[in-house]
Amino acid sequence: MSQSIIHSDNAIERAEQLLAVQRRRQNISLAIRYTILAVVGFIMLYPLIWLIGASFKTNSEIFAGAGFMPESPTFDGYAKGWETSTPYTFGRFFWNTFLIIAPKTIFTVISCTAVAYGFARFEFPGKKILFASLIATLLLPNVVTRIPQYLLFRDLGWLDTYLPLWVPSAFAGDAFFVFMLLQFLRAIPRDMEEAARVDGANSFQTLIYVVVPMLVPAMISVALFQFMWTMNDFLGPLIYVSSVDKFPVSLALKLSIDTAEAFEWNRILAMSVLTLLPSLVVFFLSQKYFVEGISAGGVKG
Amino acid sequence: MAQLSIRNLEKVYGGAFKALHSINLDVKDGEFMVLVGPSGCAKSTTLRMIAGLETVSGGHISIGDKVVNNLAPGERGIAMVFQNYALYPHMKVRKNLSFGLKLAGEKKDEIARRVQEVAEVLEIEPLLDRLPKQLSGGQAQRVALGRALIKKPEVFLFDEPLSNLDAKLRASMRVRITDLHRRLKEQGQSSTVVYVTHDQVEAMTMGDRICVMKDGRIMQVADPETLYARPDNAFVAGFIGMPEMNLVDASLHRAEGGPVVAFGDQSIQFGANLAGRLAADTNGDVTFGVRPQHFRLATAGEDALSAKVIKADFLGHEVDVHITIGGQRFTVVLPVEDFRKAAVDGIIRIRPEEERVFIFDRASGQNVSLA
Repeated sequence: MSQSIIHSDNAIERAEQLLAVQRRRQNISLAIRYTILAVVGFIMLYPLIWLIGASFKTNSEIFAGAGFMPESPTFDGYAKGWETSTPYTFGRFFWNTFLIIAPKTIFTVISCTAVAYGFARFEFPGKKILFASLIATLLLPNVVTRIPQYLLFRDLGWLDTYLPLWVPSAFAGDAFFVFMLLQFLRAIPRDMEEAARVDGANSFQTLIYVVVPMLVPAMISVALFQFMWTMNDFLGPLIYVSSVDKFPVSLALKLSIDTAEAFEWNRILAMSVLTLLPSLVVFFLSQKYFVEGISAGGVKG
Repeated sequence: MAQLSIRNLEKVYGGAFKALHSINLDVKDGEFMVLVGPSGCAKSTTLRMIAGLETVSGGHISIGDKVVNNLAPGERGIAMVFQNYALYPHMKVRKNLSFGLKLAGEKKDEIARRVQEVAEVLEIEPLLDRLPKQLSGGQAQRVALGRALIKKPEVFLFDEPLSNLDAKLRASMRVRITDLHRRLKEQGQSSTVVYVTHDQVEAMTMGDRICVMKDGRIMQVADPETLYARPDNAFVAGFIGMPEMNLVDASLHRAEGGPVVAFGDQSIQFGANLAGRLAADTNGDVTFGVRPQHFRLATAGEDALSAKVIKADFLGHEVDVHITIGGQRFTVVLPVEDFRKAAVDGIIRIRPEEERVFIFDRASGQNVSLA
């Protein structure tokens, strides 16, 4: 039997030692990295954690220290905050928010998809100028149009209704979303649409049966953005909605601060936590659509 | 009747660039017509204009008895198979197949029957409930084929359908498509095909007739044999055939006994055959064409060209020999044994077969040896 050098016991032992050292080093560096990430992450999240913790504190405890653990947790903030100082509960304000968000989101998705499809797939006179003006509105600061818009909606008699919040979105008023869908559409090859046309579909059927299914992930992103932005929108409702029974949560939160009584911070914080929840839930539910590929497999090239 | 005719068809892009120069083409009922040419020759554009996916700038297209210029693709009685399959990614194979019929308002049981029928013909029954992304390239192409077949169109349009497949699959799909065409024809169904490809092997093996295109013009329309044996011009001669035909500058002058063709310092005299074929005023500078296969070794004492061997590629039973004659490069295909015996000091003495040589006009490229 010839003894191979590679397989000598010594060599194996040394190799294993080396491996063990490497493994230990890897573990240490992993531990360090995770520690740093965890610490930084905790610092970033701390305000949110504090908010949730503080919503269970008593009003006097809130300003006592920077710790987030309530000494004697109480649901007082939630119970009283929900009642509000108005004749309505917070549920009413959530419902109002929903009444603003649902039509606005649906209108946005439909109108922006239609407009983006038009710009992406059709040639028509004045297309360049129209597209340029669409993009120009993207660059226009919102505040510039506030006053003319207000006057317009006032003359239409739409003040203190949700119409000023809904109607612009029904006409693809959010250029950003049109642009976003347009970019997405540009990346989708036209072959499928051409196949549909050969199959006898008209432009509208092509849109519904072929383009929209491929565009779903982008449309969900649009809906999600619109949902969150509308949920957080303060200025829009503040300008156009004046009666308390129509207030969305963003205004209702402010309402609790406005009232003459001493600020009940724990109620405000508790309601803030509740206000955060819908956005978080919706985000986590639709997260996978962000990742999901679009036309994978339909076209190979 | 589903013949297709194209009259003075033109395509102009942006008012300036002319992609298609007034072409005329007739595809007979049941004929398998292949459009072939190098990239940029407007073969795909022509096909897309027939399909209605591209607007017509001039002339007209008719399918059967009706001019279809202004009809939507769905109303033309055509079906198309795309290079990238273009299956609807979110629909199962079954829905992909039936989509067109559903839009046409066919009844449910009729749709189901036809899906079944097509699936059987193409052997895609086990795939009916899969999504396109779960199919291999060959399977996807079969589904794309099925989507065209199920509509029973008057004219089938194929846009380089096999170019995404590997060589082996391509060969088997070629057979499958020609089989299908033959079967449709036997059953008396409409089976007119216009098939676009850049691959001359596909063109030669599949087409009843082949339309060779270049730079938006038709160079020749003929059956494969004619295209090979009697090319109208130097472009067709060079495009069809493997290895490529030798096309070299030469000078020709008529002498007693037959025309003499000279390459640099070498010349060879041909006899009555070529003399009889040549157009009357052919003289002086010409392009001489002969396929690599159409050389033979010269016998001793015979008038021949002495060729200097540069390189020889052995391909088993034959050998591609790269040679120069009078400074002009040629490729010659010879049986291995012949080459071994004949090559002396890197020189072989060869003669082009007179019946198979062509003379092309140097300026226009027209074949002037067809008469």
